[in-house]
Amino acid sequence: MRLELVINGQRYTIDGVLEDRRLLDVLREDLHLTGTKEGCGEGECGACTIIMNNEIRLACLTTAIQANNSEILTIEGLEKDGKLAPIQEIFMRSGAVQCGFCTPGFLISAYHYLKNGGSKDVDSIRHAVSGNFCRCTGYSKIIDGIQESHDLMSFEKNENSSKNSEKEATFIDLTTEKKQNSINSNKKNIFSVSTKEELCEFLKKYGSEAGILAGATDIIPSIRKGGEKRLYFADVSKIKSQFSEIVEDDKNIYIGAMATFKDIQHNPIIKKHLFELVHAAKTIGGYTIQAMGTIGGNIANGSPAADSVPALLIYDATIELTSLNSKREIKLSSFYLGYKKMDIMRGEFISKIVIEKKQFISTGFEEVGSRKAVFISKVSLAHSLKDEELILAAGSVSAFPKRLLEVEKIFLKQDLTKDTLLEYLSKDVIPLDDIRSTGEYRQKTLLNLLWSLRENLLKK
Amino acid sequence: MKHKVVGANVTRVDVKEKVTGAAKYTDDIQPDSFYWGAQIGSNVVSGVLKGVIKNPDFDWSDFVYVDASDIPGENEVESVVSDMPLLATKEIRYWGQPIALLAHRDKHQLEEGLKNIKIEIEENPIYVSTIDESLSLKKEIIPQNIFKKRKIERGDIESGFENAKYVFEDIYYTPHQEQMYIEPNAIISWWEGEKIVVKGSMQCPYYVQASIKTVFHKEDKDVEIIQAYVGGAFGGKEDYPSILGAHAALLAMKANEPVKMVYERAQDISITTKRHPSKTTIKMGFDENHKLTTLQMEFILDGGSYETMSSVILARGMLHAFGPYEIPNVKIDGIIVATNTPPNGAFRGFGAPQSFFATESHIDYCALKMGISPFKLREINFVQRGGSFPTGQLLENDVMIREVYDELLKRVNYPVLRKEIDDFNSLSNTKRRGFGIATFFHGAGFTGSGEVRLASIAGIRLDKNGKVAVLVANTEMGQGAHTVLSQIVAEALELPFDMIYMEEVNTQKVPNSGPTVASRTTMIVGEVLRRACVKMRDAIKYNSLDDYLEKVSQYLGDKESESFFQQHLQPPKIKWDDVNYRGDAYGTYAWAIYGVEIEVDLRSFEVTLKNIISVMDIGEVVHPILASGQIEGGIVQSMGYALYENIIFKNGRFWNADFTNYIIPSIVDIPKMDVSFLNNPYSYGPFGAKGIGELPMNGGAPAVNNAIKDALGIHLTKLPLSPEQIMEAYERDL
Repeated sequence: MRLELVINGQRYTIDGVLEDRRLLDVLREDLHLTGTKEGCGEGECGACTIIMNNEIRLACLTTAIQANNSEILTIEGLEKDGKLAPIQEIFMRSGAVQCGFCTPGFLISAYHYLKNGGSKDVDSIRHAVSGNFCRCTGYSKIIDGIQESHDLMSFEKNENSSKNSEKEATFIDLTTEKKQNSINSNKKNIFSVSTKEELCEFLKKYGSEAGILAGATDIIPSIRKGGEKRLYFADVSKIKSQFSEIVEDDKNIYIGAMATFKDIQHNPIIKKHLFELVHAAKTIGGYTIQAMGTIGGNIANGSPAADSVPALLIYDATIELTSLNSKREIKLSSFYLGYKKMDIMRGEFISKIVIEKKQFISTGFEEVGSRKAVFISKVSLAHSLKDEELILAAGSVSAFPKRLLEVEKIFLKQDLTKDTLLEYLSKDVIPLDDIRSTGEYRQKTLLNLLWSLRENLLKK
Repeated sequence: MKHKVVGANVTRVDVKEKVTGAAKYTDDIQPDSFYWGAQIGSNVVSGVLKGVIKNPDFDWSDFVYVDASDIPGENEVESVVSDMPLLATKEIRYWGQPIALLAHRDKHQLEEGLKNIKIEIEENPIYVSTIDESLSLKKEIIPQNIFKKRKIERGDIESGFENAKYVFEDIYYTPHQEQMYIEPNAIISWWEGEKIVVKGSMQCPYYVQASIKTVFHKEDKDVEIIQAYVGGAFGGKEDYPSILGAHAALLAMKANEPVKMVYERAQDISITTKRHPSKTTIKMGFDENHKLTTLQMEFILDGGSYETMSSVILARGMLHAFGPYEIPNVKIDGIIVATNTPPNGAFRGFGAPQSFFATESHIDYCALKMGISPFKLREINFVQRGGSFPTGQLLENDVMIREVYDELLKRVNYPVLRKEIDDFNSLSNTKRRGFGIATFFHGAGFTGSGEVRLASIAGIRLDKNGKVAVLVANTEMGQGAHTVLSQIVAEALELPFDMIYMEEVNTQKVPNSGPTVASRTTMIVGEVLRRACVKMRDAIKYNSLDDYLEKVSQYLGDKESESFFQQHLQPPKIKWDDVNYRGDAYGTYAWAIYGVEIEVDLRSFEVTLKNIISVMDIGEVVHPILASGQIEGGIVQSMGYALYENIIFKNGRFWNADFTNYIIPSIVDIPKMDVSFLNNPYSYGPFGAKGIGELPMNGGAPAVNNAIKDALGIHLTKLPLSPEQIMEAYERDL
């Protein structure tokens, strides 16, 4: 394909790029912009963080086709007219840099945070760079450096855009280039779709062999590890805006399935009505993954640990499935049929999540993980209570996130004992051992979370 | 004495390149044409190699293939004990063990090539993965599965325990710990005629040179090793580049082009060196006044499948195992066992974090059992000035353990903190807070007579323009060594900092000032440099910067430059007996204490770090920001070791080989830290400085364990202190 990019204000045209070549390789190998680093290749370490179309992003999880026609800022672009950005100067003297390998990623994440009006609050700073790992500094001096930069950074409007990029494009021809690796050697086929209809036709044509590249935060690592069985993928960058709106009417809230978790956590409608979803959105991966990953992707992935699903179940969310000529709605609580099995038909995709507005007495979402950011949960529990109607939903304790229907029946009964609660809980879920924890720990923790939740609810 | 440059927060010498993205790490080096190299590793844990079969139908014309038969010299990895083959020929002892190498100009084709190679191994389904399995001799990798034993003895433990009023024994375990530098191992190699050049991410260029010389039967002059920017190492790039460098050089020999080898993260975690797992049986005897009279320990390290450098790690672990206490009767047995896992190697702390976990956890356990405060118990037993360690090392003015302890209690205002914690605990139904300390130390420089044997040489080169180049083989891997060494030279020469610069770390340009390990760079190499500076000042008598350039010009005459070298001089008082393990194990020690406040959720048993306070004596602080950065970074690694980090096995191989499941602390896990220093200058360190790099790794795990003990009254003996383990112990003790 022909790849057109504006990088650090410079226009590039690159011919003959493989569709699934990683943007990271384009930057590092084709354009020799080696400031963007590769630490893991799976979207976990944050060393390859860049800004693409004013959004923070991981270059190792971005394919050429997704990046086409975008504007990119890398570490090399922070210096302007031979002058370092204040945050670079401050990092130089604050001790925020040791080995320096994570530094470009941290600087880009911090720059993006400050540029978008981020505050000096330490916890907000931590959240904004939670997708970046450092093994040298202990983080303290990085936080100090970002705080200190807060008042000194000034940002021009649209500073990376067209102004400079009017200049003639640098042309690179890779057509005859042999050494061009891409994300996998089993050569998956990636198409770019421009309309909803094209997407539906694509899904219809390839059926179970088809996948959608939206955030791509799960699919690309899975392809690279050789675990992805599907062969055909549709890049939906071009139709993303149609399907990522978050709107409301008197009755409902409508969340476009391609809304990212970052969109969700900052959206005023969600913040007002669906607080637990905000909560869940903030715990998915690190901040960079939240800026890329979509809620539809999280649902469609079908992982037992899909963080947003318990939070959606307690609001009794409905999902809208769109196909070429029709739409249907289905309750999320009946969408999952088994491990990674869903009630989705050939040619359908998740287009929207619909949630009825309600006033709750209480809602909550709790997660237990192996650390406080960038984790896959060991147990999660969400609840909502409206009048007499209680919903409990749990993640990571069964083949898919599910409502605890048996527990709901007896949960608020006065004479309930912890043993009886465990008995009912065992009817709902039988947690398993895996790489992250044991079934026993999961069951006991979930029981404890439920028991303390019950005590709190009974007080209300 | 007031210093000008030492003690100042000068700008790091390497930092501008790092904040702009200009710094070239190994993978950033992109020659016009080069090969990507990859390793073909064993796909079983244990077995006998029968052959490697290349698919005859595949086009191999553009590939370079190397196996053991291509090695011109010795097929071995140069180490303390060179028992590991560079490429396996027969016996397979661990999953991923290197067997052959393959390279191609196209990464994609290289992957295809790897798929078309079949390794034939007669698998042995029986293997041992842990210390206990190894000791059970379920499978014997080497005779009795024992690589080495060592002993430290003092007094008489039998009568010690007989006369003790209290005796407590327990067994402590620690797991593998992965260094998890953000830049994976990476090397590029090429040949220039008969000369082999290796450039890469490494801590010890002269180790890599020794390795290449052995593998290729080459002389010093024909092996040029160059350090690239290093994206973190922590010990993980101390010994492994000796393997990777030789691999790349072998491929380059046949490719006639540069060969670059960059490990993917999963591969890096799966096969490179880690911190040794340990099993420590510890027995302490106290008299009626709670005086620690007797200590018996069996300290067992899992060396992995080859011994390599494990013996020196065992030594350091044992020589820190007795803690900062005066103990008359001591017996410490150290053992290294073999398992079917990749050879373990260096990681910050080098054996000491393992033994301190046992000793400093056990002290609190004994205090709990005797019904006395762990603070009081330490006060009774701290080694004093004029006291001695079990090796017989007399500790004179060096001892600062009581001082750091007193300072910590003052900083945390312990009585107030105690009340706050107790009040919180009496009010909360679902949370418990606790505070724990660990007192510890770290000996700087090589153990025993190691520095004498190393006989490091460092130097400076005076250039015509008056600038001075620092000539050392010690690498900058983030710790700030190049900045600190430049400061020492500037101070010693009384020149402005910006007149000092670092020569490239290249074995053809700098002398062998020893490896960048063992907290030795500032203290040992810095002092050698300072003395080299004295030589220059003896040769050129300048009074001030004003007459400096004139005097330099007079001195150099027509010469472009002049170098001044100095060899390490062992301080006169240090005496060590390698055979009996008696004497001065280290020239000096840095002393430290951590106080950690934690909160445990009684539903999930997750531990939240609330406060971390550190007080240390590291002698003169050369660069306050870099020093506190070293400590903070080390604290966070030790918190990872305490709470999260663990290698999980599946079918004998490492399972959690990624950032998602090998859990290092994130920025959200770490509270603001209070790091402070007391300054007790060391007379044989440059301007009074001591080594600091490894010290902060030693105390985190026991401090957290003791805080959990304080919060819940439970006694844990196994790292990591996971919620699963805490839940089990809490329910058991209820």
